[in-house]
Amino acid sequence: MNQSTHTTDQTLILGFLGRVDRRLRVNEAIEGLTLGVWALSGLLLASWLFGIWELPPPRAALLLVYGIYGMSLIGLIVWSFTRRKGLKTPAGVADARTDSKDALKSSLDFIELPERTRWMDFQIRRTAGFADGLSAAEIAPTVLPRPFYYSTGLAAGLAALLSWNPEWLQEVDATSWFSPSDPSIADAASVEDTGTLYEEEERLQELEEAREALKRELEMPETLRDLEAAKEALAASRLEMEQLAMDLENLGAELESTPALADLAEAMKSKDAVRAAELLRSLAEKLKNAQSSEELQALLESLKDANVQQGDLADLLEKLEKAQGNMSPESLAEMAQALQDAANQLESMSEQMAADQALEAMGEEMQSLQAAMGQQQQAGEQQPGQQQQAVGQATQSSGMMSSQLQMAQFQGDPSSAVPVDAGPAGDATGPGGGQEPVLGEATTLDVQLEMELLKTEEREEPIPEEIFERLSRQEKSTLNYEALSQRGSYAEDSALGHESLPWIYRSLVKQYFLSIVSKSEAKPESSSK
Amino acid sequence: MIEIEKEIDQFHKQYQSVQSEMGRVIVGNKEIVGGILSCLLTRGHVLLEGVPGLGKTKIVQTLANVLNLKFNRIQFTPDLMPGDIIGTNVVRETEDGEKYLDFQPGPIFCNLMLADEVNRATPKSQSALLEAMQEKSVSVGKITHKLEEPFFVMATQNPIELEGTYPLPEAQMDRFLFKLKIVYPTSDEMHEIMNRTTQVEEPQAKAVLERGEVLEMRKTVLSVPIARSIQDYAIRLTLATHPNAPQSHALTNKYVRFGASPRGTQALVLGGKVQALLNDRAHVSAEDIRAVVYPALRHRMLLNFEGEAERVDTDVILKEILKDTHEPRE
Repeated sequence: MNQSTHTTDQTLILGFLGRVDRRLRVNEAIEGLTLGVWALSGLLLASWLFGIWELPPPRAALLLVYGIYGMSLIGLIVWSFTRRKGLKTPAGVADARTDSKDALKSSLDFIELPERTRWMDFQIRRTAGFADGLSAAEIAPTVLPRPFYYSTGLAAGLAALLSWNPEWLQEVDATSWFSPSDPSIADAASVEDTGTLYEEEERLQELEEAREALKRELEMPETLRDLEAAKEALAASRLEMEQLAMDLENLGAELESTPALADLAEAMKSKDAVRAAELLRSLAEKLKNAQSSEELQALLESLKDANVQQGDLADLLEKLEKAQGNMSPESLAEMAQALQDAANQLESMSEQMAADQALEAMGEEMQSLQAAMGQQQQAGEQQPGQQQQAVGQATQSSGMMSSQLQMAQFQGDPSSAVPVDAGPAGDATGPGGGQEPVLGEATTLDVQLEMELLKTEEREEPIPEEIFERLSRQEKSTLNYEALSQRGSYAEDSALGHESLPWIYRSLVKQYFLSIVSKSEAKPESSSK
Repeated sequence: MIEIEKEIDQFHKQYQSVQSEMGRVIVGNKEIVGGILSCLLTRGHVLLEGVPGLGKTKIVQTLANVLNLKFNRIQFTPDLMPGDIIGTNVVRETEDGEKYLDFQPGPIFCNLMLADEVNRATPKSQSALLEAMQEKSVSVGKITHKLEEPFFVMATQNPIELEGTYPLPEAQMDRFLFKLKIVYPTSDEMHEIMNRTTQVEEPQAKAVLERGEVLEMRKTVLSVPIARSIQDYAIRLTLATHPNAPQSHALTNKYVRFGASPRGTQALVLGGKVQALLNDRAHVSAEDIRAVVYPALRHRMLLNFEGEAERVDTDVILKEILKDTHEPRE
């Protein structure tokens, strides 16, 4: 046998043992890793049980522990691969895990001998052939042992449990992912965030306060009473506005036949009271500044031709006819003044129409407010943001309603002003939208009027009950009505539903009672005098 | 390499032929035959221990016949003299009437010698035998006579009827490579023994090996290499029989007064080599060593008073030593 054959056999055996050795080192590293993970688990467990550090631990301490542990593991792995052990251990392992009967150990021993016998060479050759059929992976499989999984799972769980810091979640934002070079940027970002948060909280608090205030305001009986009074005032003003508009239209139709007053007629027909007032004033100026009696005569004729029979304007034309007779400067001045008064009257009509329009708008706003309140009460589990939005809208509508109400009270005539005790304050417990007919209160306006008349007569005996019976027999004491209230008009139903009096007569009734009250108040004063 | 393979193959064939030929006469006792052959092939001697009638002498006689070697038997008795073993110088006269000493070789001058009931001879006679066993030579007067190879002594002793016997001293027991215990045959083996020995013609073993072949087989056995780690295992096993030693076993410390000598390790290694060849291996394994621990070490351990008093069997101690001594890992 030549030398090359010996070398080949040795190389084969040593190569095989080298592969087994590497696998054994990997397994040793895994065992060391397992032990290390157990140690880490023990450390974390001890830190938890004995309170070595506060929980959650500081981030620096965690990084330090994990860093030392990681470096130790890396060192262990490097050491296990670099330490010099020779191939005797893999030879022993291979012999133990195969049926080689110590052939690899013997061969390795013979290979290391400086001189070998031919029997030794023979044994090496035999062993080389045997090793050629072996697989290092089968002899030393790299398998993660169960303790590795147990220890790793335990360590990971403990690390996650002990390392968890709830504050980290709060600190996580866009600025936490980078560290700006300029410290002022980070400061500015933090200040801005804080300011935004503060403003949001403040705004939310204001909204909450406004919501509570509005709720209190709406729940107050006075407010409900005001709402009812405003509703009544709105209805009366609307009636008057329609009457005024009708008057203007009729006056325009009457003046239409007079060519000189065509513009005035057109303005009146289009219910433009402001324009009509301006035209009347310009007519008064013309009358004042008339240069000749012919111009004056033509103007007066044209005015006279106008077949006007409407209230104040009819009086004006009468004055003009009287002034035509004498044509004195005084009479002309009186005519001009009459025209000026008519213009002023038209202007006041215009203002009243504006006030009526404002009241009408206020009524619509009030209706929307009632709808919002109804939705808020019925949908109690609405989202806070939506609730705030609804409250904000209600607050806005409330503000509009208050301003319009004030404007109406300021601009309107005394008849449209809302008296504080103008009507019964509803109990706000009326039907909330039921569609079934509801029997109204057993007192109609006729009966009320009779009872109130009896009360004002200062009689000592009580009011005879036969008034009710008689009117009942006449089928006047009761009035069945059908509650037409709907879901979104709760306040309207509450204000109007408790009265059986049609709204178109309500102002009349109100004036009646006001006159009664004024009379009853005036009597004690006169008697005291 | 082919030569070695041939040697191993030849060894196998020869060994098997001896065993099969002995098997024609000897019923069972394959381990005993194997042990005897191991000792023969490793230049050792064997001590057979067994009660009378188990075929000790028959085995030796059969082996002598099979190996076609010169065989002698000495029945050891208390009046046996060393000269009766090794021979003696006798005075002779020439034709001229001149007297001279002529060495008359004793029965020890043979290839196979059966020292039957060796413990019945006096220590003086025993010593004469044991010297020849160790030195492979005998000294008579001023002349040393070399014994012819192979020289193989098979001694037997009876463990009972110890009255008037001279147990072999430790130093002399150590000269035997193996001590084999012959046990009672099983029932089937007894049937076979009856069938073979109660007929007109008993089966006879014929010679299958010549002296030269035996010597070649010895060379083959001694050529088998053993790794240091395996040899270390044999040494550790030996040292485990030494009381109060670092490697000693607990039972050794308790019952053993003296442990096995280096001859015990030699016996382990040599016996292991034979076992390796028998297992078609060119190297000794730990398994081969374990296979010969009992015959190689059992007679080399001297029990202390406590061990003797409790009649402790050394095989029990060796069993525990085998169990607790780890095999070579690298």
